[in-house]
Amino acid sequence: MRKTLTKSEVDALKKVGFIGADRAAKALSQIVGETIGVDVPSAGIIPLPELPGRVGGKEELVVGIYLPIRGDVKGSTLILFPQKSALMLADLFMKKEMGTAKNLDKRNKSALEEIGNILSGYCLAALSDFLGMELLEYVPDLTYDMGGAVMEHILVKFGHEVEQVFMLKIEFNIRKIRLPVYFFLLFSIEEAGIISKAIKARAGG
Amino acid sequence: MQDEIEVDVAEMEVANAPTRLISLGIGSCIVITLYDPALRIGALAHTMLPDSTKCSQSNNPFKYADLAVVEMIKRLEGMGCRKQDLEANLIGRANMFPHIPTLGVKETGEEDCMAVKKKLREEGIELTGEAIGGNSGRSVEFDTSTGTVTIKKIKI
Repeated sequence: MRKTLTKSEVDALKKVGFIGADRAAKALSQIVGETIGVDVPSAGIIPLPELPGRVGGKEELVVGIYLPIRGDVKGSTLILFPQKSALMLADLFMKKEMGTAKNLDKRNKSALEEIGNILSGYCLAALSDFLGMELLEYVPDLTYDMGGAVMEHILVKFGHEVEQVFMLKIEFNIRKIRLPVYFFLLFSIEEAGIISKAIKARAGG
Repeated sequence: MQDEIEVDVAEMEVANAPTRLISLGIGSCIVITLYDPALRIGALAHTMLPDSTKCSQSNNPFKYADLAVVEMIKRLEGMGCRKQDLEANLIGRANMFPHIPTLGVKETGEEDCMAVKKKLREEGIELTGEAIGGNSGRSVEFDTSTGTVTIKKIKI
């Protein structure tokens, strides 16, 4: 079973990620009443040991939303908002001036959960369509803590059965401010093999 | 001599005073410190899993807390430390996503660390401190000048 994806397979996933993120951005735009642009500047396979330092400093605050997936394959996604992205998106959602929130309180957390739901919903739907597989979301959990600690959770949970994860970097563009959000696909080797086959079939190898 | 050495996941470092050994943003990993107060030599291991007997084998003993302890003792004894003088601390094993149910064995930080605590007892090493479990990330600074372990959390 191949453990890595080819360039064309990564490109295919990048496009799928863009479709999902774009639809999510449109939905969010409608909710907040502002134009939200989206870009997917990078996508690729990350070796698991590199995860903790990958999305900023290990002690930097992030919001992590962990979402189990069931259906034709079993796995999970992790959406990671660096602190600035989390606070500004929460402000936007709450119809406040971006830069207002300095910390994540209960209401901002709820807003981020909503945003996370929308993003994961559209991205998983796009992936589902592309793969021709049923991917169902289960109840997510949100944490607001050190980025290193959130990434460690992935490492420890998957460390003995997975060597790498798929990472998508999404950038929301609101009034010329770029807010990065990271989307990770996490599957055990067996499940990854099933997905890999489906990607190959659709990406044309 | 370095002021500070960062110890990443599945790594271990040994240092003399006054070097500080640090691990940042620890979540579910388990950090073990061992200290010889007489020689002022310390070791810090940043392990991923508590019990090697429950997992498929790896070449790296520092992935597992119970195996890491054995290796750390070897290294420290090689530097002249006496096992019975060593003091241990355990930090980590937090669950960052407590609301996601885990199928099968109930995972709490305290229960999980039984294997490594047992190993320390078997080796005759005193566990002088622990900060395990909970749902928050931690950073650890281990000062080999004094043996002090300082833990930082971000309070939300």
